[in-house]
Amino acid sequence: MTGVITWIGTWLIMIMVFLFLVNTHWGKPIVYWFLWLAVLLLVVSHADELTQFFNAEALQLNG
Amino acid sequence: MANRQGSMAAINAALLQGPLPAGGSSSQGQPSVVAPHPAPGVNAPTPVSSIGTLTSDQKRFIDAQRQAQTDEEKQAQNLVNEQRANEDAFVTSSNATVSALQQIAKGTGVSLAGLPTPGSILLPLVILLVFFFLLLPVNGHTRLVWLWLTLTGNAEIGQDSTSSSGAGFSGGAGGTFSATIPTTPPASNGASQSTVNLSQLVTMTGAEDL
Repeated sequence: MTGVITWIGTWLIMIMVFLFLVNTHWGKPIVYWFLWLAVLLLVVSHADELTQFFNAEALQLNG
Repeated sequence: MANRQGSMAAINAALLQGPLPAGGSSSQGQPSVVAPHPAPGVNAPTPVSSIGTLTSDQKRFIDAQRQAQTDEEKQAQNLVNEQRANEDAFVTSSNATVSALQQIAKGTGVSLAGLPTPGSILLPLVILLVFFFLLLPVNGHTRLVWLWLTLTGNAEIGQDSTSSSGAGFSGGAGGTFSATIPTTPPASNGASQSTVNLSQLVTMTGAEDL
């Protein structure tokens, strides 16, 4: 239960920080490029899983 | 310090030029201001109380004292002025430092605000959500599929009995999705899509990421 509270609390704090930054004229570009960086890291770290969509077997199964 | 030494030299010079007025007559034979009175009736001098009748030695002594006092006052005033100057210099430098930091912060803020954000902030956010919920499988299904299975009663969130393995779709919350009915194996795993592989149940409830 403590883990759940920590998890939810961490996300809520992050969301509040991001909302605060987005509402400032200098924080909005920071959040914007931070999100793009997160996208990049997500793609790189899950490259194997993402390429499975395009291998021959998956294409055959997906019709 | 030089002023103090000068004033002390003036006092010494006055003392060397003539004896102090206390204790007897002066070099000119005039009675002292504070001289003890002789016996009554023996040419008793009239006590002098006016400053106009002071001898030159006494005047020099008084002048030296005044000069020394003036020098000390000047020295004290110089110290006060020096302290004030130091305080003013500190305040001035502090204000300059604060204003410089404010200028740097302002310049940084202006530079950050000038960065382009093409497509608005929703674009990377939507891409992240698509990756997170639709494209990346966890325990054989994407998060959206797990949500659907959970809402339709085909999966449930149970206690993570295999948390020692350190993986799985617990998300740090301590629970693990597990399918209550066999699900189709992931595309990369099996050749038989329709065949129910009971071994998948073990892996689905386990903590194996695909």
